Amino acid sequence: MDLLKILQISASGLTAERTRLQTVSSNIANAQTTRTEGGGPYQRRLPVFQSIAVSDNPFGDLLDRKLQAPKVVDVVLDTRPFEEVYNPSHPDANPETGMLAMPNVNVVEEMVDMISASRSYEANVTAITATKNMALKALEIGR
Amino acid sequence: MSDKLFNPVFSKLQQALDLRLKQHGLVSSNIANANTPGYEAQRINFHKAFIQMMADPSGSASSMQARSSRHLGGAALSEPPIDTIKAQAWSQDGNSVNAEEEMVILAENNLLYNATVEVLKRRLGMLEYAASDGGK
Repeated sequence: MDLLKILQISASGLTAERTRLQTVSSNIANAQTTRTEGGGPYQRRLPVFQSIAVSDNPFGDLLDRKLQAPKVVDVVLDTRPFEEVYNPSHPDANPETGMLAMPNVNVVEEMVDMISASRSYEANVTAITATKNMALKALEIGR
Repeated sequence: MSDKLFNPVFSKLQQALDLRLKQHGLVSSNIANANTPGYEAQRINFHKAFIQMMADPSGSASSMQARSSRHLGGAALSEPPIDTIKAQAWSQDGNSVNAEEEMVILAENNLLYNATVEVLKRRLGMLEYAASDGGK
C-alpha cells in the first residue's frame, strides 16, 4: 500500500470512465446511422466494468488484496429491438412495408450516462488531487 | 535511550498516519469503482482500529503473529479492521458505493492526515528546540 498504488487505482477509474464517455459519444454520433459494416442499423454499445484486485501477491498486505481497480473488460452490443419508422423513400427501408429500422439508441438515456460518467471522472480527479496533497504533506515531516 | 527520546507518541502518530493512508486507498478504490456492478464499498473502522492499537503493547504498526507453527514470520500481519458495506436492496446492480459519502470521507481523511502530520512536525520541532539548547 503506497500512494503510487492509490494513484494507479484512481487512474484506472479515470480510464474506465473515459471509455464509458467514448461509448456514449459513439452512440450519440450514430443515433441516425442505418447502415453498418455488419449490415443493419447501428447497435448501441455498452461498456462492461469489472473490479480487479490491484495485487494478487499472497504474501502481500491483506489490504492490498482488498483494493480493487475498475477495468473495462468488454464492450457489448445492446440487444434491444430497433425502432421501426415509416420512411418508404429511404434506400435502407424495407421495399414491401416501407418501414426503416433505426438504431436502438435513446439520446436522452445517453445524455444521462454522459453526465454520470463525467461526474465520476471528476470524483476520480478529486481523489488524485487529495493523494497528491497527502504526498506533499508527508514530505513536510521534519522540515 | 531512543525509546525515551521518541516516546510512544511517535509510534502512535506513525500508526495513525498509516491508517489514514490505508483509509485513503480504500476510499480511492471505492470512488474508482462507483460504477462497477457488484462492487462493495470498504473502509477502515477507526473505532475498532483505535481499540486494537491501544491493546497492542508493542506499539508497532504491524506486529508479527504466527498463527501456525508452520508459518514463516511476516506472513500473518495484524491487519486493520475493515468494514464492507452491503448493497441496499434497491441498488439494482449490487454496488454499495455512495458517491457523496465517499467524497466527504475523502475530504475528512485528507484533513485528518494533514493534522496528524502537523502534530508530528510540532513534536519533532520540540525535540529540535531541546537539541539546540533552547534555540541558542
